[in-house]
Amino acid sequence: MKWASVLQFALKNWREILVVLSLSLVSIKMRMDYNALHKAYEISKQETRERIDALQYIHSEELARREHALDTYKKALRELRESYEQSKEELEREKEKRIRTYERLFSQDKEALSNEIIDTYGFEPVE
Amino acid sequence: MRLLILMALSLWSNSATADDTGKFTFLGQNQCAPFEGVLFDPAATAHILTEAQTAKINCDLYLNYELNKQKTEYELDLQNLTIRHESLIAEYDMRVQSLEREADALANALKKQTKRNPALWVAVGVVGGIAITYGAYEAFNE
Repeated sequence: MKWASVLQFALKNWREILVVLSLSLVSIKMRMDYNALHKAYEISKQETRERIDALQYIHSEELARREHALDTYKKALRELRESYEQSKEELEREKEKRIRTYERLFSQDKEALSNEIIDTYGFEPVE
Repeated sequence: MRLLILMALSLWSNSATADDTGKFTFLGQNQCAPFEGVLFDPAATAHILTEAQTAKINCDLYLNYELNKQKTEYELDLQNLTIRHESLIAEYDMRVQSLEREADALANALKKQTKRNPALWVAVGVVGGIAITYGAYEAFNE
């Protein structure tokens, strides 16, 4: 009896029921589309955030490596400078030694000194 | 006492010789020399000889130092460029992978969207129009 009255009501108002059903269907479909778009937006946002984090990490890594390279460079320069200073000191000592040798040769072995002058400058000795 | 004075003089004399940088004078022709020229004392002669003999070594030392310095600078430049290059490669890879992931995720998300099918919508429109027209006709006809 109850089903019969429902069926009778539906048959009588089938157009209105069809319109309501259609509107409900369209509304549900729109909601689903909106949810899909929202999910796409969330994914895009999350990926952008991850990209920013990754870029910051890469940048910090690069800075650390550059800093390390600069430290290595400074250390190498310091070592070079020290080595150069040491070599210069050795050369100065060698010069002092030679000067003493030549001064000694002046009084002890003039011929050797003369040969040194000739070898160094190519000057001609005159008696 | 004399011995002490002699020792002191001897020490002074040695220190004077050690600090002596050399002396020179000009000589004219036949002025105790066969030609005019410059007379250097032993210290000056020793300095002149030594400077000439060590100038090349000194120059080589300085040259090597400067070249090594330049080499170190270039190595730093090269290292910086390598670091930058590797960072850019890492950045590029990361971006590509991230964009691929994003594109896949977006494609999956958008698959659930209503498909864009113009023919279907035209058909739906036509059918809807007919239905509404028919409905209106029936409604007003009643």
